[in-house]
Amino acid sequence: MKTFSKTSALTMEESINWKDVYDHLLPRVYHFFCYRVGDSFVAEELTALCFEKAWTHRENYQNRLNSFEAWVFGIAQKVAVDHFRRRGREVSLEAVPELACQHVEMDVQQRLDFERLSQLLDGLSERERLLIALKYGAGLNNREIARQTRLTESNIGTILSRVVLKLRQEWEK
Amino acid sequence: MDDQFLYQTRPPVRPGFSESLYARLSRVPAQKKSLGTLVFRFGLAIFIVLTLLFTFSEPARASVLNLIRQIAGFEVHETEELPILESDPSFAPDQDSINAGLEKVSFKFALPAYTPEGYTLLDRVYYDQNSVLLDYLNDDQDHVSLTIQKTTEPLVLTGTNSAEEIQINGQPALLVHGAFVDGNWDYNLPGITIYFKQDGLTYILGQFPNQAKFQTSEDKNETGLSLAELIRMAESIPLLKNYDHGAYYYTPQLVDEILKNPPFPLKVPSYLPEGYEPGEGIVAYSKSWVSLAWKNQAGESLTLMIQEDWKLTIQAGAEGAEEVSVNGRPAVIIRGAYLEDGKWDETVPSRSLYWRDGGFIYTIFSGSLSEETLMTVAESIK
Repeated sequence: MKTFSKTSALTMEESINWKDVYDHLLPRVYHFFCYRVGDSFVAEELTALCFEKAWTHRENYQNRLNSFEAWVFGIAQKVAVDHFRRRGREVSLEAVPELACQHVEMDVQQRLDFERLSQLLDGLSERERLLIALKYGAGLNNREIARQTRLTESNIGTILSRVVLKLRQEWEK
Repeated sequence: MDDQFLYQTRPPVRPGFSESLYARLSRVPAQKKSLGTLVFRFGLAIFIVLTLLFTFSEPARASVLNLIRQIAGFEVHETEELPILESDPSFAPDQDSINAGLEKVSFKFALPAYTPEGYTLLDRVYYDQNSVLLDYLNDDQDHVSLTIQKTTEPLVLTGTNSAEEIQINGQPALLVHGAFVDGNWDYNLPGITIYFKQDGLTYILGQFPNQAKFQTSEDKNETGLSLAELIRMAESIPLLKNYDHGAYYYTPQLVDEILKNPPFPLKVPSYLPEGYEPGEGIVAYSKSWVSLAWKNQAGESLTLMIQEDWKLTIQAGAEGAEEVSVNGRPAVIIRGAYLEDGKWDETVPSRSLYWRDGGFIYTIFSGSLSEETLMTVAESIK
């Protein structure tokens, strides 16, 4: 008798190269969280949480329905939603003690730019900020964003153009 | 600021983060075999599978038996988290194409006569000796799941206060809002599930919107199939005596009985030709289609059909259709009929008259009455 567990395990072994995941997908998920929450420390913790969920629930992934990348970004969105729900709680540093020394190599100007940009992103609506995070953080194209958000590609393009213009005007004030 | 600036402003990934994450994940213990994992092996959050597990697995049932409530004749266990079972609940259904799979199912059941617009029955079926599970999917990846259990005593797991009683075809049924996601009950998920008993079986019809879509949609009510549509689909599942290998048979009722308890407000003729008396009729397709017949002593009949408005295509020969008017509304009269060899014969004294009124399509038909009489009957339907 064919069972689901055998099928799932076979699918996972054949379809996911975790080295590629760490090399290529991890930075994009991290950048998604950077723009989504505006804090690189929190973004790192949320990235870790996201991959922990993906790893723990890897048997749930079915490549017939979605690409692995889309599946992970679906998890990332949910992790972000959970984060905003419990925002106000202190982020545990014990889980990742390396955090205290992170970003020493980050360019000072880039850090200042990111901090200022994060303040501007705080002024966006939830949907606008999500689209910015998926587009410029995760590097998804409009078609991939459409699959994640249920918006049409043209709508996404329109919203992003308007938001970038708004950010530019605020930036130049 | 431009696109390039937005890409360049992203903080770089800290060197060593990947390695530290790998080390962190390697410390994550192997997940216990939870029911949530089993549920997700179906590919989507079909929490109704839990009903199978808890109904037919004695250890699982025993673990929650002291915590159940009775709602609409169903045993409901309310819990926020899925119980963790140490032992395998022995639920490993087979999977096959629909045609092949349904041949192997050991008990009889019926499928819905009504499928919501945009949804397609997937060509796969999961089954074991006690249950059958089929899926419908639309282009947005919204999901409707139909499970049939060979029992009338299922044990249903839900979140607190997530279940209520409704009626399906006049019988008590259970409506559940929400679903288990990642092992926890998600009250915000607009998934709804209907449980009802029929023919000694339990039918479970659930709709679950595309999760990725729901998580980012601002209008939470926008996703998935509506409750009214799900109820319509459930009510279109016929009794087994009216169903045979995909064909639907409906038990005729007396016209007077139907008119006493109509499935929706029916307009009927105030004028009938002399000698015509109420005969039998049929209520079908989730109560959205009614046929009423009157007969005279010679056995000649006059039939009125009323159905919910839709893009009805009327078939007729090239010269068989003409546009007319019924009480000022556009109508079409069909003269003639198809013969057994499939050819249209306009000399056959058969007349059908179609028109729309109040969201319904009315059709009257006779093989013997004159066109003028038929028109008079039609205009008396107000």
